[in-house]
Amino acid sequence: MAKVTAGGIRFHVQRLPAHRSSASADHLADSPTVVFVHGLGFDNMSSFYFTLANPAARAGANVILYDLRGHGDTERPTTDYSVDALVRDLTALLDALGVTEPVHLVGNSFGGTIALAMAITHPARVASLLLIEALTEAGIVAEDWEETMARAFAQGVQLRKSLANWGTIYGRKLRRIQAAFEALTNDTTLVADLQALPGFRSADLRSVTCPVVTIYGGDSEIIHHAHRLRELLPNCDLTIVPNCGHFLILEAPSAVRELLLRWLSLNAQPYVVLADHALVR
Amino acid sequence: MMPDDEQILAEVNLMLVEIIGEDYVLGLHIGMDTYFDADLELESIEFVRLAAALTEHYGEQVNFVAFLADRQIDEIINLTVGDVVRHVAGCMAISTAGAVHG
Repeated sequence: MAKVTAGGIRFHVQRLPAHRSSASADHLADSPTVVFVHGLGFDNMSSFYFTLANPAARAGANVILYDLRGHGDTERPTTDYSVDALVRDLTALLDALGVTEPVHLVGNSFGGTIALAMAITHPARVASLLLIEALTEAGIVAEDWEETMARAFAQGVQLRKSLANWGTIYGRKLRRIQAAFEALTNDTTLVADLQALPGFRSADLRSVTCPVVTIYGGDSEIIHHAHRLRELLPNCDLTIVPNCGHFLILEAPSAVRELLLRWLSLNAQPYVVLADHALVR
Repeated sequence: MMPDDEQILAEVNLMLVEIIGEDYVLGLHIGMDTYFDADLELESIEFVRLAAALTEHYGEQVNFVAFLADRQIDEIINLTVGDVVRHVAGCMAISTAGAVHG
């Protein structure tokens, strides 16, 4: 279970059905579908699973989470890590799951790149986007792949520690995380594929017709991507969280959750935002 | 018949052995006081697997994701196996009561 084969790849998928409540029971058939797309390298579905997924289900959405190829518990093929290939994976996965209606996509970091590419190439399959610290081109990440990822990993550990004494990240856990990362880096074409990415053309971004809600950290190294999106996307709502960097889900969880619920209530009716989860601050 | 804590602990133990791998668990005693983070070093993706395994085994009434979503990150990492066992037992008790009275 939890494994779905699509396009020849075995994906790790988790689904959370929309919560039933007296107010929304009548609309159950209309529950919109929200798909979460995680970032590169050390990331996987768990960064959403324990943070944003349940609030979305509680707000009345059918939630789908999956691990990108080469990440988490999904198979690690040696080739095809271009954005086009990752978009193909997403459409194949939706087909395999029988999801035919337009979906609402949440993308974090490079997951935001994939979500944007999906909206550009398959506009009929995307109802709206929530982009968290989305990259509009991945060149800078690919240039210094190992250094950028090492820094990201250290920051992630540091953040978890400073937020909550994340505990011991050594021994078994560290060995496994390192081994998976090294296999992704050395045994696949991921880095080369990222280096070859052209980045979005301005005309592509101008063609996105669905509503886009996006959030960046004020101190993020990629804040210029936020300004590019706001300038070019026809329908873009930008939130900047001051004193935060790239790891918004860890750094400002309630701001991101608040935005998720607002995005759902604006773009994915019928929705009922339950009072008990109206907002945890 | 409702399973007691001891039975649930045994079942959760089997899930953890499957998730973490026998090699690591070998020689490790998993009891109610075992910490997921400090003792088992459970990775977050393994936590996802545990949540899914619990729902698969006990049914929809055991919603571990909702249980975690109500908690702060520092509470999550300080969870023990016993916390999960008691959560499962609590969910089963509610659902049994619902079946009798509802």
